[in-house]
Amino acid sequence: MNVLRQLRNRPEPAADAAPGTDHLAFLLQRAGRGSQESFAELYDHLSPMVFGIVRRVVRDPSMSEEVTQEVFVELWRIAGRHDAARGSVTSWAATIAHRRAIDRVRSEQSARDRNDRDEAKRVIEPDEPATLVESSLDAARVRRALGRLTAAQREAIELAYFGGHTYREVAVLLGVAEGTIKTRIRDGMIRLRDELGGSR
Amino acid sequence: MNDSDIHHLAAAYALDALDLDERAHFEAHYHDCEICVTDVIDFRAALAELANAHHEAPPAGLRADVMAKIVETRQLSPRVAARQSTRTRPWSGRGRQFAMISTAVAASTVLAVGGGFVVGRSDGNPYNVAAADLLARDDTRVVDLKGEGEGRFRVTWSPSANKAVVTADQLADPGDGQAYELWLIDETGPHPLQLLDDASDGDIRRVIDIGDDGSQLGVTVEQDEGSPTPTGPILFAGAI
Repeated sequence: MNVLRQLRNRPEPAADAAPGTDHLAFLLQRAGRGSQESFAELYDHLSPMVFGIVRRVVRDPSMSEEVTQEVFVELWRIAGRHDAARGSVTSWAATIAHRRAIDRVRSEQSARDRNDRDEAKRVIEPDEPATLVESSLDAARVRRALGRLTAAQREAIELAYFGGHTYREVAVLLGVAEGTIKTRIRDGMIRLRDELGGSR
Repeated sequence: MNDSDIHHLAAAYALDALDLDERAHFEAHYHDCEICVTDVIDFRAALAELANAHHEAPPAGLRADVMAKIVETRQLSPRVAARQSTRTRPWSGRGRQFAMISTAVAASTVLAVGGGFVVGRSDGNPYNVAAADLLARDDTRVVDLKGEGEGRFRVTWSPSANKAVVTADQLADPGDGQAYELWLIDETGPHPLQLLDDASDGDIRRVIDIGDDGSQLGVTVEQDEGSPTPTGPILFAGAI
């Protein structure tokens, strides 16, 4: 049934695939038992990613700061609940940050016109993937992976992830059928997962 | 929504691109679905990499703010113990006491009519008192749970009160020895919130204690003793 899944060439997570992964897990474990020093160190590792997510979704600088703080307080609160079988510390933090940012913008929906197509489209530049990410080694890898997506898949995923839109909103913004957007998102995410190796 | 449709929502779910009702339905499904769990984990890992590539240094003062804040924030107990405790949430027991009081008194002065509540006098009935209190609060939200179930199911909830009232009308008879059960659904799955065992006439008026550690509510039919995990389909669901 799921041929893609069976056929996809998913590399085993190499020991050096995610430098610092074990260290982050160690810090989180200690933080979950109340170590503030470990949590501070965790903050230093994770805050640029968390702030990056929140900033892109929320946009407003002071609200982004507020949401980022909420995310870290939440990470502290639930540090002991992280389940390593369900993803890395980085992935867990990104998930919580994104969810929190999304929930904030959706509850503030009336504060800005999120249906403004031009505004929404300004978030992404689908024809210029090179401008999407900052220059660093990881970024180059991500940029390469993004380059394997069709422009339409990339656009749908970025409108959803960084634009903070539901797939239904994306469909309206792009004037495309909901089913088509669902398919673009799914196919694009499968390709992204396969390109990036997934299991980190 | 059929089964294969729901599997296909895993990518949109990982992107937080489902609307709240669909999110609730997906969360109720995916914890028991190995394919969806694996997909969501993998998609989120890929998205974390995407996010990492877009990192941005936060304002310098934020670190001190965060560290000051966590000092006064109580942590949840570690995972294994926590999973046990969610099976018997302390407040579901308190909710049941409220329920026993509530069923003893006719709950007729607050009715869910059309889009809103019509509030009568608070006559000492716990449901009416709670409803009046909730409706006076600024943070109270009304959540209509939607789904395939027959009838209407509404939860009016105030985070600041840690309390909600459940109002349901014209529900299908759950059947002999069975009752509606309300679930709080969070990242770790559905947790029993309240057994609603007074629905034989199709209506429910109930005060429940509810924390702020879940994002969705769901309703199933279970045996009337209640169940630690949902065994029936989610009949109603909605985000709180």
